[in-house]
Amino acid sequence: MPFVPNPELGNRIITLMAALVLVLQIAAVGQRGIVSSIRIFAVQSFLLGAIAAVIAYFNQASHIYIAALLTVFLKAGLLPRLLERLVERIGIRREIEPLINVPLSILISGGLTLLGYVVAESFYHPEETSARAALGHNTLAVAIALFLIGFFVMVNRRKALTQVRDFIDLWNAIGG
Amino acid sequence: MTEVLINSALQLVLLMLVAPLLSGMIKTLKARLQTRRGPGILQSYRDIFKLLRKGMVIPETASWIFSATPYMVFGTATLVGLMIPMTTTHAPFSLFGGVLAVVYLLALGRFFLALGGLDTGSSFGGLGSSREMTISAIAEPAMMLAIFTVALGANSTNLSEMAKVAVGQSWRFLAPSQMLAFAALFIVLIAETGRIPVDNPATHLELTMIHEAMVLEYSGPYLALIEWGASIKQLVLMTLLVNTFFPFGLSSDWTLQTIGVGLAFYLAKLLLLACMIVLVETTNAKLRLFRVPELLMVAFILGALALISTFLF
Repeated sequence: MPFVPNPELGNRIITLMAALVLVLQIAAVGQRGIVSSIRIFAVQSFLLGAIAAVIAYFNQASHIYIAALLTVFLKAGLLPRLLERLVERIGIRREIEPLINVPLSILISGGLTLLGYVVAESFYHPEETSARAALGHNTLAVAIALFLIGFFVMVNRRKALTQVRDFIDLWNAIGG
Repeated sequence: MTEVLINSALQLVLLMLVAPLLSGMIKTLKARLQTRRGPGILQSYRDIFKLLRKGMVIPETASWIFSATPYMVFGTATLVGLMIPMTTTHAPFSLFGGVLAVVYLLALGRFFLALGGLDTGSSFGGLGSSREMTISAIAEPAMMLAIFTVALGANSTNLSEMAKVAVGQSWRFLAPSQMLAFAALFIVLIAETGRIPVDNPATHLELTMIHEAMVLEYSGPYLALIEWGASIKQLVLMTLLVNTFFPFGLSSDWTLQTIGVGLAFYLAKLLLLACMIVLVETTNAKLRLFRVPELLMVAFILGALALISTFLF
């Protein structure tokens, strides 16, 4: 009996992972240590690669596997390694100093997530109630939210290196 | 009628006996992970029995609140424990109240504990009480938002109803709102049980202690009641977490077999959650006190997002 992937299960897994990426993004906003924020970025990238792999598996599109592998190797493996080495070489192990204090930043990110959902809502047409449309609805909202939060965090930080980290974070949002 | 009585008795015994075991288990697992031998799993029982047999010292300045607090802490925790489903979908006291009663009974216990800390007029007690209130002022709304998310999905604030609905939908825990709510409630669990990023349960360090500072004046049987109550509260919160989000194995009828399976599943889920807590406690350093509200703010926002996303998805 051949195993037929159940697209509904796939959708659920993808939505769940997208939500996890969002949770990590909010955690990154609350994070002060630069090394741990790089590690959160690595985990996020890994999840993104995993999402791509799940999409490839459930839609039987083998070319997406390549994208997934590249994401995992480059963004979850190589880039964080390089950034961490850079942090060690420059010797800034200090904490990030945000312009706006952390609780307020987290509140703002919550608001931005909401904005992401509202914007994504306008792309959503209930008459196309196919599974794929619903999936796009959820993940688009998360992607827009990630993008907005990424921008906000980048603006919110003073040091160039942390800004670089957040800039790479924006790629993740666009990739999502 | 007899079924309800048996159910209540079973759950009461479970609450009283499993709670210290779970605390001991977490302590042992933590010690093993840090390559220490640690106390045995049964150490919490021994501590409670030792304290129950000892005499008490009550400060001269203490009023009746000081003596009422241990009973309130123990009583509210046990009462809440009887209102949430543990091994079956039907909690013995489910008619008595739902989620709101649970939240407010926990708050009542905490309120009395803080009063007990203040009552003797010692500076450490007041310090602990003020810290506890600062933390719970943010932890409580976060907890409510997270639980309301689940209640909204079940169309009921009754925990037994929520468990019944949850058992029916086996894949529901994969929904993003459920996951956000779980994350929020997990942070609240760590804050409420005084675990490491928020409070350190293992030391009496003046600068950082919260729970220990409030109970500093207590000794003997009163201390035993408070510690026992605290471990029951921990068990209750953990049960709330595992049974509302992962309702596998909750039995809905009364045969011996399903109750046995329910019990086995329940203990396994608790053990898994305990492992998660141990991992968090071992891999994190304690936060500075003024950073704790930031962590709880994350929980609050996650809870708010969870609630909002149930409307949006």
